[in-house]
Amino acid sequence: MSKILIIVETAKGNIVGITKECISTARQLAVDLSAELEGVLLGHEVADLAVEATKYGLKKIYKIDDPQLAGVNILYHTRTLEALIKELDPKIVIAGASLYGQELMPRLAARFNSAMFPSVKKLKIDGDELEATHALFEEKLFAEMEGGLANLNFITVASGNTAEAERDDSLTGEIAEFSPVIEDSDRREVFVEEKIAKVSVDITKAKLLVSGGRGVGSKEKFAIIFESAKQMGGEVGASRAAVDAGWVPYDHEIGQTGKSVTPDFYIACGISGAIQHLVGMRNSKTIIAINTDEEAPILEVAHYAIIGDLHEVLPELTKRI
Amino acid sequence: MNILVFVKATIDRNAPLDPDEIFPGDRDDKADIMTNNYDKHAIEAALRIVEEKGEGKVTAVCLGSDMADKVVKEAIAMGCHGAIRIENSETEITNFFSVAKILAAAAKKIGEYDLLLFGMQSYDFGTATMAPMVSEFLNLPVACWVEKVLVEGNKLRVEKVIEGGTRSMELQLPAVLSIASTGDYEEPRYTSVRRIMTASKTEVPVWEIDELNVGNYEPNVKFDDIEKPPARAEKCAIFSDGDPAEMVSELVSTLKDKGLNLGAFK
Ligand SMILES: Cc1cc2nc3c(=O)[nH]c(=O)nc-3n(C[C@H](O)[C@H](O)[C@H](O)COP(=O)(O)OP(=O)(O)OC[C@H]3O[C@@H](n4cnc5c(N)ncnc54)[C@H](O)[C@@H]3O)c2cc1C
Ligand SMILES: Nc1ncnc2c1ncn2[C@@H]1O[C@H](COP(=O)(O)O)[C@@H](O)[C@H]1O
Repeated sequence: MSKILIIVETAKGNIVGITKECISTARQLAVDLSAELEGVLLGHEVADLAVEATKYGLKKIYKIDDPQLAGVNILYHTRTLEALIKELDPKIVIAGASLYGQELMPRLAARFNSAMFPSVKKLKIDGDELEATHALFEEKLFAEMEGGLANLNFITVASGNTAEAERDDSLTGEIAEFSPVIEDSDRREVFVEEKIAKVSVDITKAKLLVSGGRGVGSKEKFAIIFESAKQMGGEVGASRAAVDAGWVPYDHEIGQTGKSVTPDFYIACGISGAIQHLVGMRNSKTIIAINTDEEAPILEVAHYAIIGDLHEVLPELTKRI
Repeated sequence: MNILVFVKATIDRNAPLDPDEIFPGDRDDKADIMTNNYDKHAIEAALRIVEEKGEGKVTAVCLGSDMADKVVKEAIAMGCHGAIRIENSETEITNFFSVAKILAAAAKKIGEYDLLLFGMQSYDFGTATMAPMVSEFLNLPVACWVEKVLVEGNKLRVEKVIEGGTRSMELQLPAVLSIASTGDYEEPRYTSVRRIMTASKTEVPVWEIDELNVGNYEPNVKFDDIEKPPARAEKCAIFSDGDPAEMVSELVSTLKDKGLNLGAFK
C-alpha cells in the first residue's frame, strides 16, 4: 500500500493545530490513492505525543526521540527525514505551512531535487496529477499548481482552509522507533535557546473582538481596547506589533504567528492590515476598521471603516453600543 | 564580509492587477514595478552588518527582465555596493524551483560570499521557498524569519521569529538567511539624492542564464491557471467626514439598516 507521510509538528508539548489541518486535508487524498496515512514526529521525550498523534487518525507514527532533537535544527531534521523518506518511499509528504514547515520543506524538497507545492489552500487528485491552489499577491489572485503523482511530492498546507481533525480516543496506531541521522556538516547549525510565551486566555470563541495595533500608541493607552471590549461584551485581540511592544500578552495575537479567528464582529483599531495579520482574521463576518489612514490595507478586507483617531472614535462607539 | 542580497521586481502594490500580466516583463510602464517590499529589509540587514563590521561589500542579485533595472538601481541607491541582474526577459522563468537553481548558480559564479540574504517572501508568488532551497543547493546552513544578526568571528548568532516567540541559533558562515519584516531591520533606510546619483552612474552587469551552468532546472510542479477570486459583493463603506460622534452615528445606523447588531454581546 502506498503511503502519505505527515510531519507532526509540536510546540510547548502539544501537537499544533496546523498538523491537525494537514491530517484533515490528507484524508481525502488517502482515500483517492488508497494510501496509508502515517506520521513522523521528531523531538525529545515525545513518547506521549506520538501516541496522541495516532488519535487523530495516523495509522503509524515514526517516533524519532533523541536529546539532540530537543531544539529544532533544520539541518538535523532534513538529514533525518531524508533517511526516513528513502526508507518508506511515500508518495506524498505533507507539513503545515507554519514557520517551521516553510523552512524545512523547501530544503527537503530540494534535497530530493523536487519542486514542491508551497502554502496550498486546496488540494485534490485528478487522474494521475496532484492539483493545488496557491495564493498570489497576498490572496488577490490564485494559481493552480500541478504535479505528477509519479514523483515524490512535498506539500505545505496553509492554515485556516480545513477544519482540524478531531481527536478520537478509540483510534489506535503503531509506534515505530527511528534513529536520528546527523552528519558532522549538520553541526554548522546549533540550536541555542527558545523563548515562547505561555497561553492562558482563549479568544478564538469570542463573537466580538476589539483588536488593537501599533496605532494604539502605548501600553497605558492600550487600556482603551480592554475597556471597550469589556463594555461591548467582547474579547481583546492584537497585532503582533502590539504584542512585541509588550502592550498586551501573546494570548491575544491574531495572524500567522497567533490565532485564527472568525467572530461575528472584528473591530481593528490602529492595525494597518499586514498580510500576516489578515490571514488570521479575514474570515470574520463583519470587519470594522478604525484607522487614521484611508489607504491602510486593512480597508481591503474591512466591510466598514471609520477614518479617524481610535482614541476619539472607539469611546464614541462604545458609548453608542 | 561579502554579502549577496537577493532582490526581486514585482508588480507594484498600487498598480492594477491583471491575471494575464503578473510579471514585470508583461508591463511597459515602470511605475507598475516595485522592489519586492520584503527585500528592503534584507538590504537593510546587509548594510547594517557591513557597517557594524566596518568592512565588507553588499551585492544585490536579481533575476528579472529589464523592467527590473529600476529595482537593482534602487538597491544601489539604498547603499548596496554593486548589483548583478540575470536576464530573464524572454523566458520569464518564474517557477520558484527554477529560480532557486538559477540564483544558486549565480552565487556559485560570484564565488566569494560569506552571507546570502533573502526577503522573507515575495509579494507576487509568495512561496517563501527561496532561502531554504538555495541553501540546500549550495549546501549551506539556513535560518528564516531572522530579526537580529550578530557576527562573531566565522559564526552568526541569529534570533528568528517562531510562533509565540523567538529562537536563537548559531550558524557557521557561509550561511543563508531570510530577513523578517519585523525586529532590528523593520525600517529599511530611504534612498538619498547622493546615492541615487551614484546608482545612476553604476554599471550593472547583465548575465545570461546560459553562462551560469545551472544544469537542469525544469520543475516537476508547474503553475497553471492564474485567476482572480470572485469579487467582493460590496466594497468597504468608509466614513471619513465629520467629527468622531457623527461618523460613529453613521456607522451605527448603517449597521442597523443591515440588521447587524453590534450590541448583541453586552
Ligand atoms: C514571520 C512573521 C510573522 C508575523 N505574524 C504576525 C501575526 O501573526 N499577526 C500580526 O498582526 N502580525 C504579524 N507579523 C507582523 C506584521 O508583518 C506587521 O508588522 C504587523 O501586523 C503590524 O502591526 P500593526 O498593524 O499593529 O502596526 P503598523 O503596521 O505599524 O500599523 C499601525 C496602524 O495604525 C494606524 N494608526 C496610527 N495611529 C492611529 C490612531 N491614533 N488611530 C487610528 N489608527 C492609527 C496607522 O495608520 C497604521 O495603519 C509577522 C511578521 C513576521 C516577520
Ligand atoms: N527573481 C528573483 N531574483 C532575485 N531574488 C529573488 C527572486 N525571486 C525571489 N527572490 C528572493 O527570494 C525571496 C523569497 O521569495 P519567494 O520564495 O518567491 O517568496 C525574495 O524576498 C527575494 O529575496
